[in-house]
Amino acid sequence: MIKFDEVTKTYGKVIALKNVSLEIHKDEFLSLVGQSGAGKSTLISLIIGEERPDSGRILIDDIDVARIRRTDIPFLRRKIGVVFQDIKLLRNRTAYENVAFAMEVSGEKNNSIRKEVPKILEMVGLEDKAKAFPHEMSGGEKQRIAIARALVHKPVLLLADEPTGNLDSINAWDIIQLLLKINKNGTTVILATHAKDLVNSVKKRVVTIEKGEIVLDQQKGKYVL
Amino acid sequence: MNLVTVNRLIRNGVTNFVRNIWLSIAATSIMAITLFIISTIIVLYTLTTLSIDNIKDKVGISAYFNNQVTDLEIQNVKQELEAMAGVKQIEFIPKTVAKEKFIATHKDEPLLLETINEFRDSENPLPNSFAIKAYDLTDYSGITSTLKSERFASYFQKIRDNSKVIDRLFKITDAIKKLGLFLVAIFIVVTVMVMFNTIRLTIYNRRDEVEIMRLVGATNWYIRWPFIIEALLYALLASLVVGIVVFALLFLLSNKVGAFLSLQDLGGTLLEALFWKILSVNVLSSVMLGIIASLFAIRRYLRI
Ligand SMILES: Nc1ncnc2c1ncn2[C@@H]1O[C@H](COP(=O)(O)OP(=O)(O)OP(=O)(O)O)[C@@H](O)[C@H]1O
Ligand SMILES: [Mg+2]
Repeated sequence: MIKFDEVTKTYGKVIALKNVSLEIHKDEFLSLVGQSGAGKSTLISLIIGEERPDSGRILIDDIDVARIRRTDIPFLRRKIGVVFQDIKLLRNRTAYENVAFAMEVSGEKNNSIRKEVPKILEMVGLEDKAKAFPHEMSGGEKQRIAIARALVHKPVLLLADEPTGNLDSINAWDIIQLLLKINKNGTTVILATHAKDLVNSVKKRVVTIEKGEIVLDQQKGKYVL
Repeated sequence: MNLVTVNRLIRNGVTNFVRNIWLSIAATSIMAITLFIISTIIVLYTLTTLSIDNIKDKVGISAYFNNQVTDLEIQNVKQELEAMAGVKQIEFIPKTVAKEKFIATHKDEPLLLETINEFRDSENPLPNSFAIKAYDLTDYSGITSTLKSERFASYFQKIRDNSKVIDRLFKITDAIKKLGLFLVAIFIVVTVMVMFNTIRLTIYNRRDEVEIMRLVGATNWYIRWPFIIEALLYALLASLVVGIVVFALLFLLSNKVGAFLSLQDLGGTLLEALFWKILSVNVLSSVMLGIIASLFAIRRYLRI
């Protein structure tokens, strides 16, 4: 479904990704692990066309994202859900409105927004927080809202960048369970994290990157660094 | 783009406007001032042009003959003048007609009438004259100087040329046009700058929202439109305010202005036409300025 082919990405002098080749299959649950600064977020940015690689190809269903037209990027992003490392919820909008926002900007009809948003809030277990603003929610709840927003387009691919950062282990585990559930429902999931215990207990594919290079790719893997 | 989207874009634009209400009012005001200047210039220009048209027919040269000039001489002078370039028409007004006209114009002044009636027809003190019309206003000075030249000077006791009045009016219109263009140019620049800055600030205030929109799949135009709509709101609101003010002023001042510029027909239809003209010029120019300002701000500051 996604294929990285010799992808290199630099920011000025910093080499964030170096000759990365990686194939991710449909319905897979892939944990992307590595120390801070290893290049996990960069990899995610490349998939959604937020950054462009210096060289190499990034194929999503045979479309080269590295060469996609700027005007096509919004439509790519409607097929891919992203949970950002810094969450990026709108402060002056409620949980419901934050989720609805993603549907609004892509031109969804009002009644389908009214139908879908509560369903998704229920799925992430926050139907009772619909009217809460981000500052009225806990870290875990905000993460769930961010996941809900990422799911609202019914994406084929969910990219979750450190969705358990700053969460205690119980909350973090709940988030992982949610992602596993989403994966089971037929969405490919890429989870970028450095939460060792969580990754180890998931027992799915683990790709380890170190200083921009893939050093390990294990099925049913462990976080070994 | 469907109706839901258009609706959302407009709502977003209105939100932009309302969030920074004071800045929005400032931008609208400066736009209104510019439109008011444009409107004033249109009114002044239209009125002076109208009054020029109005008195154009009354422009002409009256050349009064000396009493001893014979009919034959008058015939010859007429022929000679008619051959001159620029002369459109020469009407001979015999002293008898002049007297009738005098009586007609002064019919309410018994003293004058009494005086003129003291004279017998043969003693009629009013001279024979030519009423000369030129093709073009610029021809009058040439004709006047010809009449005053050595060749003709002996025939005439007096030459009256009222084309100067119109000349002055032309100068006034010209001055209005120049000053107007100058003012309009300055205010257009100021307006675009103020609107540009206001929209820049809105973009800055909404940068988080813009970023998230982008990341969750909004198209570039979906992101841009609210800022253009914001500028259009300044434009239309300013046009509306100025439209109302101009309408009121035209209505209140119509009588005085009409009298002042000796326009008999400053009637409803004319004012109405003038109002619609001003309104459409205002709407068009403000919308254009708004679009220019917002596109510049978007190009410069909206990172998408
Ligand atoms: N926009 C940018 N400009 C310059 N350098 C950047 C930028 N984004 C990332 N980098 C650099 O690229 C490298 C990889 O960063 P990246 O954010 O991908 O790491 P990460 O694996 O996500 O780290 P973390 O676990 O802390 O989130 C780092 O050295 C970082 O400093
Ligand atoms: Mg990161």
